[in-house]
Amino acid sequence: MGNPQLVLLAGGLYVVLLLTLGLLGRRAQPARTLSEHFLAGRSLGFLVLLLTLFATQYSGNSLSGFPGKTYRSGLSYIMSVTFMIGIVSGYLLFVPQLFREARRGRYLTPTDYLTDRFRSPFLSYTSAVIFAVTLCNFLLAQLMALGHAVAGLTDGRVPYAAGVLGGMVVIFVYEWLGGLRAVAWTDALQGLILMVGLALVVGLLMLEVGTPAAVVAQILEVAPEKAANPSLQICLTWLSSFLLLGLGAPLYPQAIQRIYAARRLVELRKALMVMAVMPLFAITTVVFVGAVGIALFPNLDGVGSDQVTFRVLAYLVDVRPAAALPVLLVMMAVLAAIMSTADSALLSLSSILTKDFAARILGYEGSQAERLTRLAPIFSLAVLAGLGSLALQPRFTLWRLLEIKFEVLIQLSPAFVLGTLHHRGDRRAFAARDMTLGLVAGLVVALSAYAAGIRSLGGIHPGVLGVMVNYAAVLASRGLRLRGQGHPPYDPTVDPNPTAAAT
Amino acid sequence: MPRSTKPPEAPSAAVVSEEPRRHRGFLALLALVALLTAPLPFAGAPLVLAWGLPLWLWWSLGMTALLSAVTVWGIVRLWRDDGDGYP
Repeated sequence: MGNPQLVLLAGGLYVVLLLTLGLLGRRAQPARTLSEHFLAGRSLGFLVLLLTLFATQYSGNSLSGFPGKTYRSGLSYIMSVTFMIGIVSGYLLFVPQLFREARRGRYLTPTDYLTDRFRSPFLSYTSAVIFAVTLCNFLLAQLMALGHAVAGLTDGRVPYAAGVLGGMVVIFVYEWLGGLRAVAWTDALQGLILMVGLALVVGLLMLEVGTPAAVVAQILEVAPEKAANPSLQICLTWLSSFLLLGLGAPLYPQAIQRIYAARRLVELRKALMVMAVMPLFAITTVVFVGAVGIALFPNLDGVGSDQVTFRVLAYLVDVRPAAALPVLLVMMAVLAAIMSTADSALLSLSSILTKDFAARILGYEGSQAERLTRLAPIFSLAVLAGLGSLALQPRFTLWRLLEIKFEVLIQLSPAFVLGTLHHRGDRRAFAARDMTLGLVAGLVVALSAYAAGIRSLGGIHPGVLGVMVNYAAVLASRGLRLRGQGHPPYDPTVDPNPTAAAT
Repeated sequence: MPRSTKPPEAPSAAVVSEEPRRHRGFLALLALVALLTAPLPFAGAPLVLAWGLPLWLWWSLGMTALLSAVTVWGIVRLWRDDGDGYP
């Protein structure tokens, strides 16, 4: 697509910028500690926080998978705008309390909260495994998207495998150098490119293909079923997706760690306010790209539809050579979105392997765990090697990967939403056994349905059914426990966790 | 459960922090608007265009914008950093 020399020059400049930010991140670290490496010393201000949240949330799936899904499902995939806003609404269910708890308990990973709150090794290890599996899944999807993006950008001159391997090396180096500081700064750069790129996409497509009304008119000619009124089942899928992402996506470990890393609450609130408005512009643009793809290329197959973004941009360059430069920026934005999500997932995965597994298995606590900082890059390298080899043999569409991880991740929702409702000393507080029962019940329902090949029950995702059973089991377990046992009255002046408060 | 958005006058160990989720009216409104984003009233009906776009699309985008506004309102008006956050 476009001038190969120009593409290579821009790609090279971009990589140099990323590595420079990695070096600067390294210099800015006052000490090489787990908190500095994984949470940037809890120092992220409003702008960097906003851009890193934006770049992390708007992944390769958003820019490559969402247009592909729009292409396959039609205009009803405008539901993605709704559920991306739903993610921020979902934050409101537990983040205010979690932020306070994280400051008090000096949490590093999402599992730290569950460990501190419930003191259940089973719950801690199970949640850590769920987070790790989710991140592996997420990272794998990003690596695959990276390969597709590079292949699409260079019109196949740089093959898929080279894109995957090259991206892995670059991400590993700047993350190893600067930890979350480098990742957040590169995210900020990537977020800026992403915003400008998305604005350019709309402008170019409106100029060359037509207004949304013109695109709908073309769709009605070539594939009218993709603009038709959504069926009842699609509406149920719409609501189910809202629940799946609204309850599941706020539990992304990398998102929770950005909340931990916020410098002050007021800056976190401002960033989330902007994030609640962003999908109206960003995701609408992405859906528009998919809609243009339907109008221009009505006969793409499953995996081919994942590349619809690149086909649409290639079309723009073909019909208007002067669009090559803006399209190049857009392509960089796609690459940026993928890389920023991949680096966040990798860093978060590395922190979970270091803190939730290595430190616990070795029995390291507090300052002892700092000895493990040097293990973090080794874990990152091992993860990249394993997932990179999987990414070289793509077997699913990107959307399938996205769905599988949410079915499992969403089952941790009650532990955060209900777990942060009460003080641990409150007689009404949910106990580890309530959460364990609900988690097991939810996972059994979701995974059984998935294993039986059920992807949707009347439009409802198996994970959503699972989480309904999960919440019901948690509430029933607590209700039975409170009814069957006597409890001392709740005394809010007694600190149930004096050790954590002292640290 | 306090419903005022005013900060407490005298913080103490038992101060209740303001949080969006502790306002049932807010949660009910959020859920209702989220439900309305799905174009259920249009399911199965013939396609109607308005200004070149399907009417159901206008409906869903409008409700989605409302969902965004309600979420922002919840962050601005209901989320404060007072006390330890527990009722």
